[in-house]
Amino acid sequence: MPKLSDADLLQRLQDATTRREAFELMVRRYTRPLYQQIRRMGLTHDDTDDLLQNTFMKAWTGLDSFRGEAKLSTWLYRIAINESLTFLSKNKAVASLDDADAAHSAESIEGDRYFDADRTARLFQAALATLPDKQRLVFNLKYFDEMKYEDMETLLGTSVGALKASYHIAVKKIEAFFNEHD
Amino acid sequence: MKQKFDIRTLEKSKLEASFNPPDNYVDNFTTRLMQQIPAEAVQPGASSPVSPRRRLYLRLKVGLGVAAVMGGVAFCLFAGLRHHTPATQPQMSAQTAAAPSSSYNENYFDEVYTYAMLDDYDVYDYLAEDY
Repeated sequence: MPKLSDADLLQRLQDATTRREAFELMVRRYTRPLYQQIRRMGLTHDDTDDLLQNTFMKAWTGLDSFRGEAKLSTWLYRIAINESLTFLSKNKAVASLDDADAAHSAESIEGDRYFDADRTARLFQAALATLPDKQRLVFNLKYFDEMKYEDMETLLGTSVGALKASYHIAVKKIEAFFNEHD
Repeated sequence: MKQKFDIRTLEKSKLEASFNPPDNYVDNFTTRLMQQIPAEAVQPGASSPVSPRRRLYLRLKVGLGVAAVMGGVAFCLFAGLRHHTPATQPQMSAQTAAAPSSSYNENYFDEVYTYAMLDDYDVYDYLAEDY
């Protein structure tokens, strides 16, 4: 069976008779990228799993309000990002973590039984943990997903100029962290 | 002198791999999630079931509406009849008393012929066609 495009998938999601089946397809397609996206925010596997469930449950209940103005992927990423930022903010793991907090955050990730990485990757995680949440998010979207700033602007509602500045600062901070700890 | 670190020297694929989900996670997660969405659940967008109280209210509303319309029609008929009866009743009774029922019928048919612009010959022709 040929792979359904997101547009076809959306069409099936809007039809009550094919909705459930299409939703399962959508979950299969987006679980992995959304898992990675949430995990990169500095969360453990268990927290990521919870947030991913919340994300898809919200998508299911919000299917009627989604009219397809944005891409299906953009809509899902937005829900996942909001879930992550709300979680982080609730857990007091918010903006401008100092080194001690960053070390603690990095330790909790390293202690995660699902975290499998070499020294560089661990250092990188620790460096990421020093960034404020939104800056970390911008960095991840640009560095790992290679997302265009224009798409990021739609996703986050932040101007292209501010996003470029945010990414540039994040890179400088990560490099400074490596210079200091490597 | 220690060389300054450059982020471009990092192996992105290696870093990316450290964020991958465990083996079989996608399958297991999908199964778990779909179990939380019962097959019998009301699909979003489908009309929600009406509660018995709401159903009773809707029936009463429709019943009262129909009763009000029927009452209005009955009132109009009653009022119309009351209005016409005193004027026509004596005239009718006088006519029926003075003339036999056959003459009333003849008068009626004459009026119909006149209205339809028929004369006796048309009627005869019509009748002749049958025989």
